[in-house]
Amino acid sequence: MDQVTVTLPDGSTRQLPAGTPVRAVAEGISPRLARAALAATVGDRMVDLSHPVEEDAPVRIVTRDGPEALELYRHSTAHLLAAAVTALFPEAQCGIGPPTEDGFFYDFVVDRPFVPEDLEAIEAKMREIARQDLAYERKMMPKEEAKRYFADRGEPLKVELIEEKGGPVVSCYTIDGVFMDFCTGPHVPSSGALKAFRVLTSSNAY
Amino acid sequence: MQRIYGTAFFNEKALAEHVHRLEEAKKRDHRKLGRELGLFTFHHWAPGAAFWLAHGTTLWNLLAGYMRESLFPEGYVELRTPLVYNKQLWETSGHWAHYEENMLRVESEGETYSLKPMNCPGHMLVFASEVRSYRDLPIRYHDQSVLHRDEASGVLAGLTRARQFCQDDAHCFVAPDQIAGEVERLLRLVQRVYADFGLEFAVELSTRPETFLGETATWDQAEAQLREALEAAGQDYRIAEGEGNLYGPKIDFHVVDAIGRNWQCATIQLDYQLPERFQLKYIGEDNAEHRPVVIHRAIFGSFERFIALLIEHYAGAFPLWLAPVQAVVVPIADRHRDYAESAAARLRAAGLRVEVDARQEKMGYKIRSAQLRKVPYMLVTGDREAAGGAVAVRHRRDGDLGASPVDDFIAAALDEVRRRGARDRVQATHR
Repeated sequence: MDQVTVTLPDGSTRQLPAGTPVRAVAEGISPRLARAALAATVGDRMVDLSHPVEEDAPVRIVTRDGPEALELYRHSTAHLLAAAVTALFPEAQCGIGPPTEDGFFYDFVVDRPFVPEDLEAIEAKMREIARQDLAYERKMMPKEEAKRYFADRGEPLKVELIEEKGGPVVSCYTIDGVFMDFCTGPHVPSSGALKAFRVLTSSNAY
Repeated sequence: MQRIYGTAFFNEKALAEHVHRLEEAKKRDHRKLGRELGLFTFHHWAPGAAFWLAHGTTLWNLLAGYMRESLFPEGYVELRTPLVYNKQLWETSGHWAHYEENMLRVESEGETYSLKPMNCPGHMLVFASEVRSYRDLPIRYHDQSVLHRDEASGVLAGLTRARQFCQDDAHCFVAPDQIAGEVERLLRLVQRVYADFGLEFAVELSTRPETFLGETATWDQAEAQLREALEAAGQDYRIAEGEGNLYGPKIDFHVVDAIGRNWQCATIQLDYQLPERFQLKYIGEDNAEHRPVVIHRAIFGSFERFIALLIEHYAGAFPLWLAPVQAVVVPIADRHRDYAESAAARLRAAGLRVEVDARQEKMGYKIRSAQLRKVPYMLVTGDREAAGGAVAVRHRRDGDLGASPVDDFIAAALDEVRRRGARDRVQATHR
């Protein structure tokens, strides 16, 4: 079996069978690091902990101390928000949901504007899903299959986005059994990592 | 389409602090306080332009006077210059090419004019209107003219994004070797001004960008002089590599308000291009013609934004020297009204801004009313006070301070104004 060599920030190296998830690097260093790991950088890309290492590369484990950690954390929380909204408002269509300087937002097409009670219910649902510690998993899909999936779920905005931005194979992220979104990722390993969040307000978007 | 906003942090403490900041910000929103304190208002027929009401105009005039008093000892003279200029001015300055869509046009007698979005080109004309000698330099023009910048109505926001505003603007014309000295003077001035308002700030030096006008050597020289000035003024700063404007390096001041937010206020901008475009010259010691450098600078930035910052920083509770109404005299009953009015007259004669609340309301209601308006002092007058020539002093935050002869209160208040002090000095809540 092919071996790959990963180089850690302190210059030391590890040997792994090719295709091993980068999470194994964290586990090999210490159980504490494995528990604190949110993602990893392989080469100059940030990836999920489940990302298979296929070639020699510099690897850094991203924990909450990393410069990119907060943005990652907020991006995953945005997905959690969308999961909660689609659970409570099945008719809602999802738009885009990026992290921002201070937090994140997510756009939805709905029949009536959200009221404060809705936002409270959404936040409660987010906590429920987070408590269940559901896995964030990456799924690669052919473009047409992805478009069909979202079309069947009544998500025309996602179909449009995939058409515009997707290559022949697109990446999607599921929150185990609850929600799937078209997204390049990466994301935290599971919803249990998301602890301190708040739904703030809603407003009309374009 | 609805947008839901949220936030997330790694721990509850950081989240709670952030949410607290957001809630504090809402309470201090200058648009809300501007309305409640009777400072300014807006009308949709004049988008992006404030109506400054009585108390707001008092505050404005205090700031304008403060700035004049700060600048005259520094060798500035004040100008009043036109608002509307022929397109040819803007073609000479280069604004027509780069800034056109932000300029409000006026057509008259077949000619195109524009309302000025900045004072600089007008000041270039004033400099050029006479022969200048190296002995005249530095020449410093201060101008509080109204400026107009056309912004899309969607982005207008209270006082912070306006279509019409005034800067505490000035242009300093210097010889190239005077830059360090002039900028050092300016830095010390900004330090004094912000200290007077109790404002913390951070300083940033922006250096040559990828696309720039002029010679590299000139830029290097200019940046070296700015650094020299910053060191000499004992000013900490960070460098924003490549963030300078097309026409020169600059120094920006970011004020940090009481809840930890950044506001860009003062700026010191070096400009080698405008003097070139207007062919400005001065006669040097060698009797030859030389080109001056111009320094654009503002300390408040614009009056509008600075006032918005002050409102939110103080949460509407201005220190005594800035409070539009410094004291309200409250007669307890009708029979105390005459005494209240005479006490108020003495306070006014001493230069204090005073009102008498002679409404048919209970004392408690009047006190509450003054507190809601964040008036620093409430002076209650009843039988005892009238008999003793005193006032019962209450502070908006510290409450009952006891009775005081009117003259003693006047002396203490004038001292607080002179010191630019405040009993309830702003406590930063972001540390």
